[in-house]
Amino acid sequence: MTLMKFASRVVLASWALILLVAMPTAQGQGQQQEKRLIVCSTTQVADFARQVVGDRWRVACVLAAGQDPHLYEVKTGDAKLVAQADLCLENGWHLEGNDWMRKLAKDAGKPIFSCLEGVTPLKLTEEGADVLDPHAWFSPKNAAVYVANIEKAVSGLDRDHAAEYQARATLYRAQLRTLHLWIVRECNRLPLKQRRLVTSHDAFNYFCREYGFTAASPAGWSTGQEAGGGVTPQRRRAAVESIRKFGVKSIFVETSVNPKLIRQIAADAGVQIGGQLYSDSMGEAGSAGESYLGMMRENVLTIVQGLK
Amino acid sequence: MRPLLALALGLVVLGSVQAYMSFVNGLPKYQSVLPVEAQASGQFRLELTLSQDAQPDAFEAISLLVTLPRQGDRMIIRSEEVISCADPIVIDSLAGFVAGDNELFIQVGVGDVGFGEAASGPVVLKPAAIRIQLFRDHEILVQETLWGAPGEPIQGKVVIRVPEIPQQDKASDHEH
Repeated sequence: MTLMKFASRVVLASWALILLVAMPTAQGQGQQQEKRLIVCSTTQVADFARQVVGDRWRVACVLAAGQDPHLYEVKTGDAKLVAQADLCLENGWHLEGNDWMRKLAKDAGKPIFSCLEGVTPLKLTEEGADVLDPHAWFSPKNAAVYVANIEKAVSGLDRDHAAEYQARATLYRAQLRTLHLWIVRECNRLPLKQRRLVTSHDAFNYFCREYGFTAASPAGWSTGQEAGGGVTPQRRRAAVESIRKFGVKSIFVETSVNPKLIRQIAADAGVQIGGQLYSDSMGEAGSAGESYLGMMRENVLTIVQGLK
Repeated sequence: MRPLLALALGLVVLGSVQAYMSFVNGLPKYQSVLPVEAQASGQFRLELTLSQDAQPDAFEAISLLVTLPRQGDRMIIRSEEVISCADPIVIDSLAGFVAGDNELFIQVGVGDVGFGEAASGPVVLKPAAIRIQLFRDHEILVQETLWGAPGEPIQGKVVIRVPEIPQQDKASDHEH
C-alpha cells in the first residue's frame, strides 16, 4: 500500500469517528426543533396566531380561504389534524356552526381557547332569542383582544418564549391601531347619511358600530339555521325597503357566501353591486385579502368607493 | 493491522483537535473595558405637561411611560391609569442621569378614537403633545415638546446633555 492510500484511510477513519461522535447531538437538536402545533378554526384566528408565534410554532387552519364557518361540515382529516395539536383556538360564540371546533378539540382531548374572551359583545335579539354576535374581528379594537388572548394562551404553554410572544403581539397591536386610524380617515370621506351597509348576511355589525354605519342584510347573523340565522322573507323585504328608503348606491356580496341572493336584491331594488367583501373568511394565499390587515383594507376601500 | 493503525491515527487526530479546542476555550476571555459613567451631580426634577389626558387605548394598556434607555431602560414612570392634563406631572429627586449624554424615552397614550354609536359627523383626529422640562438644582437644563401624529400616541426620545459641574463651583455651592 502506498503512503497516499494509507493517508486517505487515516482521513476517512477520522471523518467516520467525527460523524459517529456528532450524530447523537444532531439527532437531539432535531428533536428539540420539533415545533408545537396550533390548530385554528378560522382564517382570521390563524392569521392572528401567526402574528404572535412567528416561526416558533406551526399554525394550521381547519377552514380554507373562502369557506363559511357557519355551514362547515367537519371532515376526517380535521380530526387527525386536531389530534396532533398542542393548542386549539376558536373564534367562539357559535361562529363555528354547532360548535364544531370545540367538539373536535374535546374529542381529541386538546386544550381549546376562545379568542372572544374579554370582547364586549353586541347582543342581537332575533326571533325572541338573544344571540351574541360572533363577528367581533371586524373591529380592529376587538382584533387586539383576540391577539392578547392568543398571546396569553401560547405564553401559558411556553413560558420560556413569553417575552418573544409579547414583543410580536405589541408590534401587531400597533399595526392594528394604524389600521383603525386609517379606516377612521377613509370613512370620514363618507357623509353619515350615506353610511348604509347592505351585505349578504349580518356580519358587519361591529364594523358598523365602530365606524358609524347602519347595517342591513337579508340574512341574519348566521348563514345557517340557528335562531336568528338564515334568510326570511321579512328580512329580505326589509333590506330592499331600506335600500330604496335611504337611496343606497351599492350593496355588497361576501366572499364566503353565495352571491345569488344579493344579486336578486340588487335587481329588485335597482342598485348596483359595489363589490365583494371578505367576511367570515380571508382571501386565498396571494390575494390582497390573504391577511387580516389586507382584508380589512380592501373591504374599506370597496365600501367607501361603492357608497360615495 | 493497517485498519487498526488507521483508526489509532484517526483517534490521535481527533484527540489533537479536542486538546486544541480545550486549550482555546481555556484561554482567559477578552473583556472589553467600558468607561464607567460618572453619576451626574445635582438634584434633578422632571416636569411633564400634557396637552390632553394621558390614557390607554384598545391597542395598548399604557397611558404614560418614561424610561432611561441608556441606563438599561430604567423605569421612571409606567402608568395604565388615566392621567389628567390639568396639572403638570412632577418627579423630584430624579436619579440615574450621568455626566454627558442621556436619553429620555417618552410614550403617551391618547385614548380611543372612533365614531361610536352617537356619531354625528366626521371624527376629528387631533395631534397630542407633551412638554418635557428637566431642571438641575432649579435651573432648566432641557425644554422640549414632543408631538404625536393625529390620533396616535406620542412616542419619542429626548437627548439630554448633562454637563459636569466644575469642582470649584461645587465647592462654592457648599460655602453658600
